[in-house]
Amino acid sequence: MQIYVCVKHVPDSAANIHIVENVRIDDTVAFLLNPYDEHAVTEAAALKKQMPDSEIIAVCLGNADAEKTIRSAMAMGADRGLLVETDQMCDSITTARALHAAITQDGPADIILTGKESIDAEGMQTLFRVGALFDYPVVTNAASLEIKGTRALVTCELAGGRTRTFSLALPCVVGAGRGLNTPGYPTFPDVVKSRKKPVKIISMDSLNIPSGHGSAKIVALAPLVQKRQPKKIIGTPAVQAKEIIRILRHQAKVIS
Amino acid sequence: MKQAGILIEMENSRVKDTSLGMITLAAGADMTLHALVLDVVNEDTRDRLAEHGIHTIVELALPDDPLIRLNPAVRARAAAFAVRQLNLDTILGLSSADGKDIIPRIAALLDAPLVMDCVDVNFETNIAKTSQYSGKVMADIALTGDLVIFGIRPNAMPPKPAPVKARTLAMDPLVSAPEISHCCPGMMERTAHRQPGGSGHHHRRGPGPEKQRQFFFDI
Repeated sequence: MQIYVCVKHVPDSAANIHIVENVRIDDTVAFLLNPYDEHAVTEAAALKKQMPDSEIIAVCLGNADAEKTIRSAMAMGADRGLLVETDQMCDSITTARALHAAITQDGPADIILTGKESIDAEGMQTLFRVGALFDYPVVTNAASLEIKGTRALVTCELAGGRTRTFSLALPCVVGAGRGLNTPGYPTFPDVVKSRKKPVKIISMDSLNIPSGHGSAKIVALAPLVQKRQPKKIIGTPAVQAKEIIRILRHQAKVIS
Repeated sequence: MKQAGILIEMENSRVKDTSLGMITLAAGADMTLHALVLDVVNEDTRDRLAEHGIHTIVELALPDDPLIRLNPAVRARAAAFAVRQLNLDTILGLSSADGKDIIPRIAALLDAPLVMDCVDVNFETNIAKTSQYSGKVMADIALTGDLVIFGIRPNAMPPKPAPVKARTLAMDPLVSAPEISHCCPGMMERTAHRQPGGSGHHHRRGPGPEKQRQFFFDI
């Protein structure tokens, strides 16, 4: 089985983000493998254990430094890497086209895994665009994955603890959620081995990616300063629960 | 004048307040507003949508079988069908749990740019405000193209009445574009914790039993 894992080189979520020239961040901060993509790589490695003839290929669009993220994916189980190299900031339309072109050139894919979103752009859409370009079915926020013959059984998490189970015809695209597995830290020998694994560098220009019908471009960035003020919620458990729901809905605006 | 489609989310056969807030956000701009409803439109739905500024209620009929009706691939294709038919240039949907599984599908199907989790949108410039980098940065993102899509953060805008007279337009995407159903070829249901009395017409009685059931979608 040919397993492609799309990974992204993102700033560490613990890093202090500084904005430069109003439209980009200071990229001297630590970058790493997107946390959701770690789940995708871990799942690919688990699939390979079940099907040892499989090959795992980590694919990334990014600058030369993104090779480190591919090496991280290889330390976690990927066999080789493809880096579509560009210094440009790409929107999800261009990113999906680049990943599609690189996988098409290298493939064919039996399954494409990736994280359900990246922690930098938080766009939540690249996997759907990759699926549409290949005309493969797509699911997101996967909590379990099982390959049965020519189909993948994927259970996805919804809000409120609900799940939905999908049966997808292979090849397909699966967006990994946090519930899919627990990524393991690579051992030192794994890290050493990853340095010897091949990474193919593909220039973005060589892929002749067609332009899309539209684009998304950052025109301004501003630091989001949130003053955190602790507040004690008092009353009976029912009153406290009601107040927590009110805060989540109307102040934090995280539930509808 | 711009033509905007607003993907409406329902709960217990009632339009969610968060969807009404999204209409309020769009009603502040000079646009004709079309509500894209993928669930049954009742009198209360019509009244609430018209009360908040919707000019056209587009009733997209989907089969009662929850495996088709609730399948995000089918819902996205049905919505994309309506967008093409109505020649819309702006789409809004909620960045809710369901919205995150449908809006990006629509954007991918229509190859249109999308910003998710917007807290504000300027519809004249198509610039949306959204958070990035784990909530540390607020980004202004400009979309270009004939069709642009915005996923709106629930509760980003409280609903405010702005009554207009609304007309209803019925569409049957599966009849007009039968290829939509090809994305769920099996349409089989294998349920866990299945309630007696099974499938069909659940949305007419409210979503209670569906919440307890686990669906098995073929896509």
